[in-house]
Amino acid sequence: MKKLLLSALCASVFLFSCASASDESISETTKTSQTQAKTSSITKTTEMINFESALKKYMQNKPYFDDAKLKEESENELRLNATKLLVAIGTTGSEIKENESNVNTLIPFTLKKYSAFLNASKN
Amino acid sequence: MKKYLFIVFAIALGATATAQKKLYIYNLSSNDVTVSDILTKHVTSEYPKFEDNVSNFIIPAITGNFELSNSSIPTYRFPFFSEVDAVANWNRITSATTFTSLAAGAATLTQTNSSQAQIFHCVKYDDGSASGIIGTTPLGSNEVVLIDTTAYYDVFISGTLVEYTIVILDN
Repeated sequence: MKKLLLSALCASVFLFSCASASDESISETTKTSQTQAKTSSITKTTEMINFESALKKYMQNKPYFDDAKLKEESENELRLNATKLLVAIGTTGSEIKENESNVNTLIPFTLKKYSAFLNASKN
Repeated sequence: MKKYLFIVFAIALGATATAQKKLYIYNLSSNDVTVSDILTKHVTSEYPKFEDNVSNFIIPAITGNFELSNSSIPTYRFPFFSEVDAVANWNRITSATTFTSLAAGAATLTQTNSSQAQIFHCVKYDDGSASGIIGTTPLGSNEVVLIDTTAYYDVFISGTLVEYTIVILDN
């Protein structure tokens, strides 16, 4: 009788430990999929896509900025889309005003703000 | 009049020589980017130059950024010892066959005055499907088009601040 009870106890301990291990693996899977969901949850908005496109165009055109018209058009397009992006990600009007007139300050400023926003969105 | 022009010129030259240098790499592309080397060069001579002496590191897709900067060093120095993202060791290359390994702090101190200043040269990287060298000549170029991504390099100068900037975007 004692032997039978001991066997039942061992069996129940074994079943309980299996169940715990299985719970752990489920929770690990959940953690992993949550992380993956976080990473893939950043969908670029229209403002982000337009800024990247304007930046790309500006960089590509820069070697040809002897052409004053091309320079002005590229800078205006960049300024417009950088400003729209900055507004969309919550930059204050005074900060934008301080940086928007000079493209050499606007580009680094926008990249810093944009990058910080993307990082905050991820976290 | 000439005297004033000379003073203005001297101030402008001084500001350029002592400008604070920062390096930024923004990875806005959908690919993780692996950086294998960061290289600097002497302001006028072929040597000495520096390359990082650490393992390759990854700048993650979309949200990744990397920054070398140090606001507490003399401004003519390249920020080998960075307050933001750290590169612990650098190789100081003095000829085609000789180099010395230095910790970041020691590497920074080798630039004892503005005539020994190091400036950014280029970054060797891989976007998972191909590799490129972005930056300045002779090794790099300011636009690198790979299958998935394009990297752009530019330097933005504002007052005494010099920001070497690399942006990696999806094609």
